[in-house]
Amino acid sequence: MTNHIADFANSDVIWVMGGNPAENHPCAFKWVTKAMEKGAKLIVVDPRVTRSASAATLYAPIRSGTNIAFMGGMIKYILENKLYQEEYVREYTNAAFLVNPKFEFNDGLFAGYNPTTKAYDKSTWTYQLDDKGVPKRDLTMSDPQCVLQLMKKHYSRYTIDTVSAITGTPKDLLEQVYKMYSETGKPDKAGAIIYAMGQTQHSVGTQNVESLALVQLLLGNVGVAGGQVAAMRGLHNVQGSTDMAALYHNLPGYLAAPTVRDQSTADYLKRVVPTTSDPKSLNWWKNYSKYIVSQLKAWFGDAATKDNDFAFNWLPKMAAGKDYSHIPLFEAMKAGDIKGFIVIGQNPAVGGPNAGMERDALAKLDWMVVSELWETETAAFWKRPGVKSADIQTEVFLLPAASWVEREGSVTNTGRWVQWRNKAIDPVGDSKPDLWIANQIMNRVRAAYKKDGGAFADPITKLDWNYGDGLPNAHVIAKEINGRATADIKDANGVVQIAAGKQVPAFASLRDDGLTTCGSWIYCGYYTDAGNMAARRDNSDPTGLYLYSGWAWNWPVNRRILYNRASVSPKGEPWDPKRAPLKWNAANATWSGDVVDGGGAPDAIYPFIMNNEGVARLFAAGLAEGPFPEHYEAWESPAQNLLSKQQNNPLAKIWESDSNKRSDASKYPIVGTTYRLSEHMQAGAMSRNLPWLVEVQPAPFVEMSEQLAAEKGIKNGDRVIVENTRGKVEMIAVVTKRIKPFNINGKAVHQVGLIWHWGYEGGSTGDSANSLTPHVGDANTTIPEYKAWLCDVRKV
Amino acid sequence: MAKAMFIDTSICIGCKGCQVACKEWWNLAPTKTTQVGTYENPLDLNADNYTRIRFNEYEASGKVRWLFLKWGCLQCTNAACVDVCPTAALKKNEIGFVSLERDLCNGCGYCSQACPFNIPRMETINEFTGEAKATKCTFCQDRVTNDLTPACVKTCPSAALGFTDRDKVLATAKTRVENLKQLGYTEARVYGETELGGLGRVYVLTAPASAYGLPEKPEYPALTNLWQNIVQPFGYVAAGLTAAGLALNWFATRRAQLGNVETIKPEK
Amino acid sequence: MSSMATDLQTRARQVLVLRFTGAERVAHWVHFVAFTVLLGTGLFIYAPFLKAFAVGEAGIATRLAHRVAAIAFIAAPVFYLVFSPRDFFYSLKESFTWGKDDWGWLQNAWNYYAHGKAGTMPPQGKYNAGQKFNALTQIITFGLFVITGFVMWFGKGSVSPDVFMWSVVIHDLSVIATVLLFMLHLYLVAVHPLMRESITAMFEGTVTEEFAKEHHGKWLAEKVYRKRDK
Repeated sequence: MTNHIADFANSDVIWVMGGNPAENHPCAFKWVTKAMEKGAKLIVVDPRVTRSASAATLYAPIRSGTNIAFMGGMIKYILENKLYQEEYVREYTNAAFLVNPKFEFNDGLFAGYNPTTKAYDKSTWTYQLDDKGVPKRDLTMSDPQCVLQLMKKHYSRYTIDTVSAITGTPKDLLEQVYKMYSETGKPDKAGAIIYAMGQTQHSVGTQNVESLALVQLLLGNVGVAGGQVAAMRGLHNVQGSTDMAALYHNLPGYLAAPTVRDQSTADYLKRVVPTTSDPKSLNWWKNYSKYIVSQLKAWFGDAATKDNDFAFNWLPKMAAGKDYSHIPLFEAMKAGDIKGFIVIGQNPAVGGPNAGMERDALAKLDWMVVSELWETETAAFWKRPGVKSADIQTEVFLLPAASWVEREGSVTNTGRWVQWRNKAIDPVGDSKPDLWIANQIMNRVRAAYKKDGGAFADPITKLDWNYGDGLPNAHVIAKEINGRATADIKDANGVVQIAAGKQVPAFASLRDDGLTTCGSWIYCGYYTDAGNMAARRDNSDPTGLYLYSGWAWNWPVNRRILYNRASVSPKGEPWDPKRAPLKWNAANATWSGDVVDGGGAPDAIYPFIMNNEGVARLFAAGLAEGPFPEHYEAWESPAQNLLSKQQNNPLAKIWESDSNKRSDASKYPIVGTTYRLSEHMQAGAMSRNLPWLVEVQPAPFVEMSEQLAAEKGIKNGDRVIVENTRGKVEMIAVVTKRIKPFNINGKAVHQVGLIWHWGYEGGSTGDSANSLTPHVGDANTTIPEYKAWLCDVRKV
Repeated sequence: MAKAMFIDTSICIGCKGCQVACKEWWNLAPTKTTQVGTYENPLDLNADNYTRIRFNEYEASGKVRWLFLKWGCLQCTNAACVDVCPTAALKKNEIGFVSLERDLCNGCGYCSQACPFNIPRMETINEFTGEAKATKCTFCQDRVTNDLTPACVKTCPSAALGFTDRDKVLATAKTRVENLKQLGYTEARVYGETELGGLGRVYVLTAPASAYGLPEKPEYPALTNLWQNIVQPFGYVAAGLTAAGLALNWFATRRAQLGNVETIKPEK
Repeated sequence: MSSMATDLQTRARQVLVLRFTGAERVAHWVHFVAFTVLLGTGLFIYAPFLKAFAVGEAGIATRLAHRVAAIAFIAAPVFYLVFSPRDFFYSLKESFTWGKDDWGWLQNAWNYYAHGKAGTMPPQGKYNAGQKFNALTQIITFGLFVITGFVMWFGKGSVSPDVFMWSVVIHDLSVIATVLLFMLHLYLVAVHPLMRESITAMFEGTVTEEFAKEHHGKWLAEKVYRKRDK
């Protein structure tokens, strides 16, 4: 996130949509409460009255899968009522940029759609450039080809009537939400939008989040205290694992993973480094080469030299354009293309979409290693109820892993705070920390290569991996992530700036000549010669803005609010002097407060330094489905798309097969969604094995309205079956006033919500809701569409 | 100085962190529960659950609200349980809670029956011999008498719970209610200021007490009053009067008897 | 009562009247012991100054003793009924049969018991009005003790709090009633200068003919002599 969860306390209005922080992030919700005690308003938009909604100033219901329609209406409301923060939008976004006149949008499709490849030719999704190659702007933002006008035109179709007919949100509530939140468009007001999997887990997930970003940019709520698009994570270290490239398409620090087409660093950099001709655009990614070379030096040490292109070709490379994410992984497993599988800290037999199919796919493996605290459903898939173990040939190894209280290291929370944690107790029994396990695997694989050789052994035998045979020292690894000088680094006058072997103080010192190492450039500065910054515990707050700059360490460079230059006007005046994370002191030409983004005088550079335009994008050509989010119905939906002929996201990734059939609304008319409980953790292994937590929530359940229950003859507490083409589950019915049927274009549509924590292993067992969810993914990320699908419900 | 627990239901998110923290501090055994169609569990207090969140759905003026109430001993000033306890295992502590000395409890169960809120529960050790111990929330008497806050307060992630001087708690609660009224919670009120002489738990409610399943006006149980203040003293008086009457009779009869006999005394 | 020589040879042959059968006496003493134990152990939680006996190890013993005694307390009348059914029902019937003799007893009781003056005291049956009143009270409170005792023993948590608390109140009221009569009873048989002899009826089963004639003349005439004379 650009800001931290503590920053919610700075907000005037907080809008929760596609998340339920009171349920799933109670400690983050404390900061929402703090804001409300100071008079802030809380808006909750959700299919049901949630724990979060119980605290809301304003609650509005929404049918799952219609977020873009809801936000599209919001954008229209802001634009047509001129509620946007005009100077911010003009100066700090691409609203004034002129777009290629050939760009168009027609009945659900943007220019360049190719129905056979189901992809866009994006050549018209571009700016008009002047003779210097700088995008043309109309600072009056009245040119019909400027982004703001195109946006206005695009969202003009999202009228209150249409939006209400799509979302099922009553019109008066829609207007109340729009009105209350657009108050934050005033320069001295700030609003935060909190979201989680309710936005992302859709076939339009990325565009859902994009729509939130557009609203925030229009209202000037990015880069300021109290304004952010806040992603709530499911675990304490989701941010950290993403930073460290848990996703297939990244290297640590959000460097792109190389593809087979990248035959050298030059090829690679040419593909990935953005350029600009605008002198005021800092275009931070111009430093890309320093980060990738320092990373290669951290990994391959002295073996990475200028002569061998810093061992770039030792990196594993992806087939260009191939999707290696969760769903295709399991599809490949099902097809028999994957023979071995190592699972660490994940439980796809419960948490994976179409879990029944994924359990079956595991049986196609020759071997599987599961490193876990408990025997999970995934580890025990071969002896699950209803299968004949003798028929499953997969060899399964269960490694006992130590939990996080049993090992030392850093975690990075959603606000990018890197926090060091000490070991509290020794690992129980024979369980081992992940570091120990990884070290053993690497040491043994390398020993095997050294002894027997093998095809292309260099990347393994020459990896700079020397942590001994026991548990690697976490501090040593942390220092490697930070990086050091491989030789004396001197300035132009020959004065040593960083002596050989010393830690690099910050990423500005990183180099592409091999003189520095750095495991992840964004973490450079986290473990320096001054010590372990992540272990800092100073909770003083001199700004009064909940920045806590002396607590832990915030990547990058301990900056507490990203894009914080956007909190001041181009003249350097804070939009809101009472709530200014940055102050420009013209007298001595310095910034005070937070660590400023970029540097130099206020008008020297644009604030959004990671974009090559230097400003934020309201028109974002990088996304697969189009530069503006457009509403499409979920893959399985009870309704026709009222906005265009395109029923579904034309680029959604769909694996239709016998084990992944589409459920038709005629037979399965009820919208299904899934969610979690405060009392349990994710796929449940960590909480369903704790008797105190089982006591407070002993079984999975399905929530439904009183009206649906009456139609189906179901009473509260009855056992019911929820089913669709992919599976069926038996759960207890929780019949509640908190869910009401939706009026979708004049038709009553019911929705049910299933708790997904359960499976067949552990101290408390129950059916897995993910038996019903589909193998359908978002077009940009392939995140599964867990949150909107179809089903039917009946009494057992 | 009397202290009180502040419970702001407008902030509580019903996460049950307090329930689990309580079990952890007191090392209480997990009990077997079942899902019967509610987020609530365990469904009632018991000897292994001193506190729990009650969930109530409340529909008023077209708005559905979900109310969470942290439940457990309310630590009454006029505590019937203290009055009925024959062994003084239950006592009113000056810090403002009803203490429970387990060693003194003889398992009579009077407290659990006299309580107007049905709080104390008996941990039955032997059904036949009647060996049992009363259990209830004591605000973590071991913690609060050593300048710590109760375990539930310590753990509450939303800061819906507080523990401090009772007058401060009341002042905070009243201010909060005023704020809530301005925010449109017209039914907001403080619960516990005067009830039963003042409760050790002071609630900020955003809906009528009945919507939370709370008695609007909790009353000191009439039977306890009858028993404690009439029947028991009557027993002493009656026994005393009887003894006196019998003594009188003895003197009268002895006098009559002596009037009818001749008693010979030995020589001195 | 005149004094008697220990040397039986020198003593005039005495006539003794059997007042209570063996079963009756056993039942009485079991009842007595049980009642005393119940009263003692019960007092520990009635009277705050005795609470030391109600807690800790003593409390465990107390609680157990109260329950064991309760079973004996219930067993006593059952024993009586089983081993001496005729007397059981006779006594039961007598206790519920009130007539003018009882009124006469009540009128003369104070003079009789405080001054040793018979006055117009009519001859009494096996049980005089005082004894009948005692018996009736015992019968009624026995039922109340058993019912309320079981409620408190086994009903905790399963009966409504009101039922439980009423049980406590009724149990205590029963205690008060029986304790008052118990005091009087003890006084008459162990302390009262003129009535002490009656205790032999419960130890040996018999009283002297003289005592029987004086205190239960009607019974002696109608139930004892008539039977003997037949």
